[in-house]
Amino acid sequence: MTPKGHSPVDLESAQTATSRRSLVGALGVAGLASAVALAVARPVSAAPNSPTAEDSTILEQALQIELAALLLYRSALEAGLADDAALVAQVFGVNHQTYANQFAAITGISANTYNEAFYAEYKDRFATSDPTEFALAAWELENNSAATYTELFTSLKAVQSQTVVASIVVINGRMATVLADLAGASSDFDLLFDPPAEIIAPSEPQSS
Amino acid sequence: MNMFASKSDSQVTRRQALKIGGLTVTLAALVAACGEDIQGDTSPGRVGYLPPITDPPEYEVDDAALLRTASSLEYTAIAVYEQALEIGGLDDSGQALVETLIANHQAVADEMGALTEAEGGVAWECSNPWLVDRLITPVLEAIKTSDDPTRDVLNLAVALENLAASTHQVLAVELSAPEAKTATLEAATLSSRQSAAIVVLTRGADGYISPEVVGDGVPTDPSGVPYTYAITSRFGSVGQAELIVGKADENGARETFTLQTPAANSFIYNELEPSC
Repeated sequence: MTPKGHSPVDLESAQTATSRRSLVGALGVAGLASAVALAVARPVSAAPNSPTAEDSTILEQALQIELAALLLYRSALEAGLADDAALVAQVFGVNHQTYANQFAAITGISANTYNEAFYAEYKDRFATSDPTEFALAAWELENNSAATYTELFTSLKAVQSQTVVASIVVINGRMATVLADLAGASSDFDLLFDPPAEIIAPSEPQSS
Repeated sequence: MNMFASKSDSQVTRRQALKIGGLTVTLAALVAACGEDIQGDTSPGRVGYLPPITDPPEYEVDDAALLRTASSLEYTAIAVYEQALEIGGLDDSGQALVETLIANHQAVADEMGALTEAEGGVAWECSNPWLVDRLITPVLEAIKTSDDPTRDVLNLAVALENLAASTHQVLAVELSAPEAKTATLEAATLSSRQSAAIVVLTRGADGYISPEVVGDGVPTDPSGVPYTYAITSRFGSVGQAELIVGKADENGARETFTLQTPAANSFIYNELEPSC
């Protein structure tokens, strides 16, 4: 099913890694990788630098989850979120879009498909103007994303793949903490620091 | 007698001698610099009194050394939080938060220790000496005379959590053992949550998202110290960060400390003996 309203597609056709966005994204990743290389001087490992074919398969699934998350945050804004909740939805939505673009940049896969099952699971809960309901749904989404990335992390072979995923999962944790506070649950330290989470299942992508 | 004529007419005046001498020295230095048979100390020139430069040790940096370094950061955070408890002044919720943070860091330290031993190393159960000497001790000294110790302690806590998060984030990529990679990535996420929690619990919604994320500057509080935020970037940063603490001098300037993820000079190599 294709969701109504916004389309996650901002490229009309499949783009190769030579597009401007891909180049900018690749430079961003190169910067991250350089920072890591400078931070820890260690003999070069045997790990490849660029994503392997197996990495790309995993990262394509991650990209589709990120685009679904972008759509969900947009739907919350459309539903009439206001004030702090609206700012959070706006910034977090763009974060997920940026992650999708980053995955597209390092794999060369077009960022034009999203995980429909994941979107469908959350769409009703995100389509709300109630900041607490929105925050609880988004908190769950961010924690599940963090758990999923952590689960798949060691399956990734390339330094670039791991570097990008590691730099995303820590922000998932920060976003979840903000959302817990927005939901009024920040006095519960168990929910803040050891939240329940489920691994997001990959699904067949749906072109929109 | 014309004194001026006499001086200007002499073959080599004192001033000229000094000029000639200076020129000779300069030319000699230039020739020496261009020479092929350079001898002596080749390290960069230094002006004034500075502590001598010490080269970092050339020990192997394996998974065990990286995990010991991870442990050392956890114990450094524990030591700082325990000092905060000793100083007191926290309300009930603050006390509960600090006790939870200590328990969380101890749990991560225990896990890093177990992973170190699994890699054939010896678990490290002390603070990071380099960090304590170069950062923690001078920061705490500055806080003692601060105009707002509470603000500074909170900012130090956020900075330490950010440093732990950055370090674990880097180590997750650098380590080779899958269990160690996963554990450090989880530790990075936990420290990120803890950093964000300290901010949102003290600043509320004002501390959610830094204007830096959308390209604006970071505002400062009325005393001129930058505000802290739960989210300061779209991707987890591993770059260096600054911590501003202490009392302002007559120009309004405060001490600034730079925090960096551990490198060759602050690794806990397998050859290092515990210092606690």
